[in-house]
Amino acid sequence: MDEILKIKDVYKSFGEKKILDGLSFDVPRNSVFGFVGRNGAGKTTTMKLILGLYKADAGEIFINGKKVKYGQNDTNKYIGYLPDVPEFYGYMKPAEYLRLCADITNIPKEKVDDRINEMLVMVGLEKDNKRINGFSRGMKQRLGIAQALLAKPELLICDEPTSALDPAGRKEILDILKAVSEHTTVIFSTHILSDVERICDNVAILNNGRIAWNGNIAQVREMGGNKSFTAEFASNEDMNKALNAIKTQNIDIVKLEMKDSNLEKLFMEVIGNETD
Amino acid sequence: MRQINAFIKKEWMEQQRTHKLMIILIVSLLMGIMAPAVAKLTPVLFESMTDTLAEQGIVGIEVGEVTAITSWQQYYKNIFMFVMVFVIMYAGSYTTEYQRGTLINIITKGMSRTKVLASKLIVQIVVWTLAYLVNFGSAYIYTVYYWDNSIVKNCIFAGVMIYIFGLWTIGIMTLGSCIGNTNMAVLLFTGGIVAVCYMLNIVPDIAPYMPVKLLGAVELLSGDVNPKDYLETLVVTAVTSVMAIAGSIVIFRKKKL
Repeated sequence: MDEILKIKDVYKSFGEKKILDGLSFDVPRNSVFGFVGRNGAGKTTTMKLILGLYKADAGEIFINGKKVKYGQNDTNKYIGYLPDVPEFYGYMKPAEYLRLCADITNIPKEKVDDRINEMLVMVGLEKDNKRINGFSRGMKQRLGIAQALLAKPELLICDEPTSALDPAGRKEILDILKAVSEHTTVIFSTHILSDVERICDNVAILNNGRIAWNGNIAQVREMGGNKSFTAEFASNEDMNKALNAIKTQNIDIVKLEMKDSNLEKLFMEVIGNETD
Repeated sequence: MRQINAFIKKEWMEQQRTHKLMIILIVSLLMGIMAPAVAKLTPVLFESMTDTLAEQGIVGIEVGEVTAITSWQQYYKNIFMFVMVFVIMYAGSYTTEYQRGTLINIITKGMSRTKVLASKLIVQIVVWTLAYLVNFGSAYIYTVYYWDNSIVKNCIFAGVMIYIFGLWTIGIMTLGSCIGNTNMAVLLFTGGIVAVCYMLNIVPDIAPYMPVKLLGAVELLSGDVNPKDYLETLVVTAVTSVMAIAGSIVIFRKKKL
């Protein structure tokens, strides 16, 4: 079976408001799948339907070929889920929370300690042995990934994992997602398009309750990739030379954009220096 | 079983780290001691005030003889308040989880909702049992220490009636927690059911079947009323408790989290 997740003609409304209007798409195994849409497009609703937390008005969802049923959570054993704002019991320490999760997911007892350590190291929380109450948003997001991956699920679903984070936190999360995609299929929703380009293999764009576009990220690159590129020069001098070269060759430039300051880069450099 | 154990452990940790357990036990102890203390101190208080009262022209207040019965009367006068404190403290057990979304993680990991409910129920019953043991125990010890408790009939039986009323209240509160989404809704539901029981309690034909009758256990102490008169009440209480929990499970399984 090629697809880990299959969504077929799903409809869902809340009262008068139609959220999903015949949504269909497949997610191939061992890929990073970007699920893109505007705020309120129905990304979270779709994820909650996949998890059996909402009941679809019509349509079917299959995980590993098994049908998802509302209220029952048989199919959830294949899934690790990271909610948009993960909430934990604030009075627990991260290792204690992961132990609770391990017991609930029935991870073999002799493996629990190793697994918890492995996860804490992976998300970089091994030294933060304090109550979750005192955690920052980024730390909670990382603990969220740890709990989602604890049982080594075949499918990891992340709901806007990077939206609420600063650039440094975003990069960390994206790096972790990219790393785990070696053995896990990752679906993540976002409205930050650069994140998708950074790590995704496949993209689906959700609009008006349907998939407006679905395909490979390479296809996206091909669409405009042959005609445009971004270049970064080491110095102003080099840049002027390059521009001169273009001029002397009589090449037409349709659009030229100057980046006066690369804020993101600056930000990363400044805080990078602090943490080093 | 491992899931239930793990969730009970989590609930118990919550009791300890949020200091809920300590607070309810301290309240239990204070309210337990208060009854015999008030019974003991009232005559002393009046005596010390006799002169002042006489100056103001108030004379002839008779403070009846204080016995173990007086102490227990004092105790049962405040017992409804004690149950209320418990309800107020535990009404948020489910609703805080709904509001913060903490249960979603647990449920999506494959824990059945019935097991979540069972774990919470077990922990609440254990806390109520401990709290009531401290409450009744401290009242009992002080009463026996100051007075002759042998004149009190059905002393323990009356106490057990309150304990059972507490268990019934937990059942109602659980049902309210599965129906409602906010702390206030749970309190209104639980309070509403108790209020309806009190209203129906006025009708003599229905009164013997109302769980709130258990709260009036003080009438047992003089021996005018027999334990066997509580049979109907106990049956109704047991049946409605089981119904409340069964209903809770049905509703909780379909609840949108």
